Amino acid sequence: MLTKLGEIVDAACVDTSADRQITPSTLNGASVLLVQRSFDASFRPDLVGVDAIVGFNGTDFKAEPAGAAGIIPVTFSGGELKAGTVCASGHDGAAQLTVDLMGKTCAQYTSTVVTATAP
Amino acid sequence: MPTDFNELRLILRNSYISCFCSRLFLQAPVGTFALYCFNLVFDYHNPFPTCLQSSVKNCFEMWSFTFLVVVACALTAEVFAIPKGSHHNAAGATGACAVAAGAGTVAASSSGATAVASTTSPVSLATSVAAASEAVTRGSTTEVLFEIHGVQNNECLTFRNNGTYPISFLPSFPTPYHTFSC
Repeated sequence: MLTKLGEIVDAACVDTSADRQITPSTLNGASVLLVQRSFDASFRPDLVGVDAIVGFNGTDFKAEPAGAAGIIPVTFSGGELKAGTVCASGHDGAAQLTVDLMGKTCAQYTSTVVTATAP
Repeated sequence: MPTDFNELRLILRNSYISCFCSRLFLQAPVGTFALYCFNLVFDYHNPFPTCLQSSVKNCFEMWSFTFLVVVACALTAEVFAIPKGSHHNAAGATGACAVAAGAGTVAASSSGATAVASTTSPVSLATSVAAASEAVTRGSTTEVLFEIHGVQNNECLTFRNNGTYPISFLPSFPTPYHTFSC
């Protein structure tokens, strides 16, 4: 199995539990998407006990520690998930979120407000 | 020249691990990982583990931890140094990190405690770094994102909490030891 760590995937919408929730927030005044869920130390020790945001690490959009070096925060605006000029472009055959580094083919997303649940 | 089969087997095992660790050590940013690996090599309490894979896994986890410590230390030093322009603060942060890295190595090298040590120590360090430097203001609404034209009946984005390390992260093994296994 060659899955990557912490990537975002498409999943069923009948469940809106914490692992699907984000909270638009700010980090030192800049817009970020705060990840609601918690992560296991065995999987992402860097995300245990810290605020996790959706970030671009140069190749993927994934959960990253807020303020981590080399991570560009992803924002949701105009129906698109963007980190600078990079945008989410949809999903691959494994339902994993893909990115367009040139920002030319951006997927469209909608958001639904839900009640935040415990991480 | 070993005359006992078990002794020969032990030497082969240690050579295997030593070679593996040496290879990783070249990629490791600090010597803490090397110390940990030497502890593995000279750990005679359990000379014949049920599977070498556990040793490989521990080595890899320790490498990850070491890398995390170095990144966290660099970040901490930068945070302390930039606002005040003081070399004293940067040195203090680096020194504190060196202590943290050393403590992590000692804890991880304790027999039978590697898994706990390698996952607990970096967490507390990362937490302190983030808490000291970042201010997150939580928004008032929580949302679920829906991908238009996403995977049918699975259009809502979710964050994984499981997976495996990419194979590309793992080093290849030297050919002379390919035939040896625990």
